[in-house]
Amino acid sequence: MSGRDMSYEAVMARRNEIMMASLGIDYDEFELTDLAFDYEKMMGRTGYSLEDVARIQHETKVGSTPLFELRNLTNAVRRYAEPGKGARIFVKDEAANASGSYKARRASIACYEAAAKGYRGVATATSGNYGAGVASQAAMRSLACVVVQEVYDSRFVGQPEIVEKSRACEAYGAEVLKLTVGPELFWQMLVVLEETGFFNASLYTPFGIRGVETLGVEIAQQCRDQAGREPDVVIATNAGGGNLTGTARGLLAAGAQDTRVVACSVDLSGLSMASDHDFNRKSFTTGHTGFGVPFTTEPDRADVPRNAARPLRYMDEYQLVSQGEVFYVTELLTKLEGMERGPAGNTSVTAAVTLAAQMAEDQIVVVQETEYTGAGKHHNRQLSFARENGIEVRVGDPAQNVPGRSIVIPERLEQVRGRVQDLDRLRRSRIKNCLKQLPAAQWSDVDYEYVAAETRSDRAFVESVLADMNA
Amino acid sequence: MSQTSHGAAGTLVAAGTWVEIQKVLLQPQERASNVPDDTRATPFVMRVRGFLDADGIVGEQVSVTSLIGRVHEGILIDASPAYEHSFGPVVPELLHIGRITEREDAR
Repeated sequence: MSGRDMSYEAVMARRNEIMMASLGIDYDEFELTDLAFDYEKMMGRTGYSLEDVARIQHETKVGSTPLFELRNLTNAVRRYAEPGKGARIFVKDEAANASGSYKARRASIACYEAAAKGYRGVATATSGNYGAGVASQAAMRSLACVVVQEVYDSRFVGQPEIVEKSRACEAYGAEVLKLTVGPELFWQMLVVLEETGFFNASLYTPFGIRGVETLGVEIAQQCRDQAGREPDVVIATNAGGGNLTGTARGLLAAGAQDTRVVACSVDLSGLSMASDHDFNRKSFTTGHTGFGVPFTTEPDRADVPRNAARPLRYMDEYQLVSQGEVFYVTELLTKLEGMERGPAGNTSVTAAVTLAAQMAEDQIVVVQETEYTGAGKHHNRQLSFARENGIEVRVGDPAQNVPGRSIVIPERLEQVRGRVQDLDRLRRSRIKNCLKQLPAAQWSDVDYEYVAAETRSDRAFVESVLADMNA
Repeated sequence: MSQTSHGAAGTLVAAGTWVEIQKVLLQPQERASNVPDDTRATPFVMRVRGFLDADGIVGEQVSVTSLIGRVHEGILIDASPAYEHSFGPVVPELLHIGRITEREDAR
């Protein structure tokens, strides 16, 4: 690789050829127009059936995780809910996967594919559980692994949760490149791919999303077995969108058409994700609106040409919760249910409390993941770290929570209310982003069909939005 | 949580020791155009751990070989680096939550 220009501009200009070599997928074959592409054709490109995926995952200690009913939490909700309200809350204990989170499902297929295609190693850019998932799966497939992480602000203060992820990745034998804040992380990832010739285990390839489909299938089957009915609601913590997309696709594949799929993110509105100053002023490194909203309205901002995670195609509702509410529910889960788990799944548990209080007693709401917790990832560390970084932490009304300034922990469970995000606003934003790609005057029937599918709406809705925008 | 150099500058570290190095990847003026101003005022820096390839001195340029056998060059900042993240000092604001004394279902 010597002699090549490795400057930011030069490497970014080689982006497409690097992607092609590191994935073996020619994304051009899915393009339909200057706007639309064939999503299902891309998803089918993996060549793996759901049965194949389940078998591959079982080989490397992924899947078949328990579905538990949270009886004490449900009872706590019923104490303040209106008579007859208080749906049964279940949780899919994904912490039981190798590496401690559902991300192992996404990593498993990428690593299998990399090994099958003869790559010597895999690389991924992620500061979250996915890095540990890839490192763990790579270890089992005898692949070398590089994980590129955003860890520090310019003072070299590491976000505790990410410092723990660095440790986990190194524990599984990966080389971890720990970076300061900045979107140039993607440039460094391309440099790694070019230098190593490794497989690009991006979160957002069809392999990554197909790997999550088994999660939706298992939820439908286990819920039928244990409760005699399908879940009324499944809640997925939403950041890059793959968790929700894969789970929803799995539910559909298992015939659970009537199950409502609810997205949930921690509300961090007002904080910049690329700001050195803001980096350590947020207590959640993912599962928040800083990723959830932009990835929902512009999925192709991902590190691959076309993102296989397209959550707006699948979500029925989008719940927002505050940092303080999640910390409250995390502590309550530990005390009432005897399970200590990390922030990703607990974000959805928080929304589950809100929704269960509004749903009938015989209905079922499923939280579709948990993750491991530990030093750095524990809510006590996130709160003490917030305090060290000048964030006010107090007990009170969580409605007074201000991202980056204060974290207000509820006094009582009934104060955990979350709030609903307007889905139509997100749909309009998605349509606006489509217009940036191709002006409406040039849209064909194929484009209208694509935009309707992207926004889970119909042509009439799309046309009415365009009319409102004078587009 | 700040991770600073443990070995004092000038400390000699033996070849083969597990160490951490630091490397500036992009100077402020080389950074991407879409970076916020506060971030752009700082360099884009990488830290990585590996086995020291030859005897080296903290604060000076060295090369290391990572766990997967790749070679990286940078400034030696730490010998035998520790993981220092923790559960943190107690946060009293969590202690009222879910106590058995306040649970209506407690026997």
